[in-house]
Amino acid sequence: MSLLEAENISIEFGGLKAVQNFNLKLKDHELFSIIGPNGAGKTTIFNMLTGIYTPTSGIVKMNDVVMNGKKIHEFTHMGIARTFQNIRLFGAASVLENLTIAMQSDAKYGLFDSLLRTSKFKAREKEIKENARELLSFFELDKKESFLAKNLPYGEQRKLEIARAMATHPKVLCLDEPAAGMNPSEVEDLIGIINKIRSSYDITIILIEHHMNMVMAIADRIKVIEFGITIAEGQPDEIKNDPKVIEAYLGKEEEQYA
Amino acid sequence: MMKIKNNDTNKTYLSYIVVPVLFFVLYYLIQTKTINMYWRNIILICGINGVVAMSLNLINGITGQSCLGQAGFMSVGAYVSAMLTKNVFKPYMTDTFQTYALFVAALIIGGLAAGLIGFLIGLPSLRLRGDYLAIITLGFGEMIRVMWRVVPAAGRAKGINSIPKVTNFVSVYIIVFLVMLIFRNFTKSSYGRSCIAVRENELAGETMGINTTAAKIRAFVFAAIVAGIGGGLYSHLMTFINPDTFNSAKSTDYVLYLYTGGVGSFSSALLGAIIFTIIPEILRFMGEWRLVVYPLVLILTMIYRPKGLFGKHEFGFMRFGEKENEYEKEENAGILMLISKAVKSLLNGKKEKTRKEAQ
Repeated sequence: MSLLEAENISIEFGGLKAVQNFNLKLKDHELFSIIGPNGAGKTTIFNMLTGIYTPTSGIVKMNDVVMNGKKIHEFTHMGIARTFQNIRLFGAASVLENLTIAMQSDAKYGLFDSLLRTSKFKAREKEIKENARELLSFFELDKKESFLAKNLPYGEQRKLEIARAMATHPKVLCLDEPAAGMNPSEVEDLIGIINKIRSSYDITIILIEHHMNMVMAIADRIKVIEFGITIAEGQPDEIKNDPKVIEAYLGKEEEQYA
Repeated sequence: MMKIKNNDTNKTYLSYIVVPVLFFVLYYLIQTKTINMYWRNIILICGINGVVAMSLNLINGITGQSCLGQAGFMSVGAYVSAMLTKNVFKPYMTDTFQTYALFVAALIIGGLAAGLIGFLIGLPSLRLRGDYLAIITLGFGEMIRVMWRVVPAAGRAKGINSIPKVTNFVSVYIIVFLVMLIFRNFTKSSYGRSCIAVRENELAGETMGINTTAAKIRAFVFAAIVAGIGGGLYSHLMTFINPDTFNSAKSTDYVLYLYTGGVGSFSSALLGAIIFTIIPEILRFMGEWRLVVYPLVLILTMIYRPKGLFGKHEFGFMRFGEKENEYEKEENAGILMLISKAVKSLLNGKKEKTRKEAQ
């Protein structure tokens, strides 16, 4: 049994084969990274794994339940959460509200409880707020809880996105280019946060990233995609020395930085 | 607007006092005929328009959908409750207690009927958004209006007349207040938060485990129920309704009340409805010219106060007496904020002057 499994998933948009025969079997507690050049189909894979797209062929399974055709929120309830490459926060809501909105499944009260504000409702709401505040202090955002999300600086918006994903109590966390647009010191900060999440929560992470240093430093397993096709898979060291990968992706990077 | 500094709890309780005081003052003035029948009716219509504008705020302001058919929901409540009281309940409306019990029952049944229609209109909202949804709701609103023209029980184009006149100041005031409380409790719960998620970012909301489909349907049904209750109050105040009372111009009026008041806040929706119901009445002395001046007022409001006259501010009791923090204040930016800033700068100016004089 695996938390999240993909068997030969492919997706086509019209005639474009965006992803072909992608396989994934996630091991518990690992940090699995998907890399590849721009337009390789990484985000499309995420969209299939989180239910935004239904694969044209192949099966996505969570805890051995076939998830094809299920709604996005049902994927979330099965324990998968994600962040977005282009930040999608609830902009006009406060930082704290961003988390309480995501804690939807913790609110186990009915409509009448909320309209009449019963003691059950109040107890639940108090708990949700406390949990949200705890999560904010974990991500060192507690001093900004009443800021509107859209007024946060960029790096903190990225952090808040991760915090919001964590608020849904995920077992699998999908990070879509969390370091995009960050400077080296912010990337260091982000690596620290990811390590902190891994050590404090029982969680498996899938990471899409372009910062090779970051991926090589923290990933347990890497998969390389080019034009929707998997070209290599393995430990960071294997990937570094794979001639195909160097040709497709890392080679360019080394030329640039040599 | 309503703020008393209380250093112990950091809460404001002014609005908790203002609500009953305002009630008794208005009640006294109406009872002693200081406010004549004409203005009394205008006050009641203000309240009813406020109820419908607030219900529209749930769809447009909180859930971020666009609905242009609010008069359609209102007409369902108005017709169903009027048919009930006129044809079924009238013989039993003997004493005061029974009259009002049956009136409330008719309002609720009318509201539920409107809720059912709201559910039907909510369905297309799952696939459409923005302008397209607005067109659909506009069409649905018109459809309901035309439907009343062909239903024999609804009196066809003639409408229904001699409806028992049971809407009074007390019932309108209480219903406005209750509707505000219910909307507040709804928005401050996980149900309201899922509506906010739909407004802010539907896809992100869905990936956070929110059933956005259910949230949208819930908002439409809930808003339709409240609009239906508003319609019931309206028909029992006017004692006469016909299909053309609820045409698309009326729907547009509610959109106007909401956006000029301040979309996103129930208090602003109410205040917008009150102000823009009263302005045309005040302008009556101008005769036909008021139809020129009134739109001009609207245009100027939209140019200089694009977030609405009162922004996103809520009354104190709508925030459980919690104070707005500075970020919220800045963001909400209502006209009251502007006035208080102007007053403060004036006062500071005076202080500086006196300081200079002292020097």
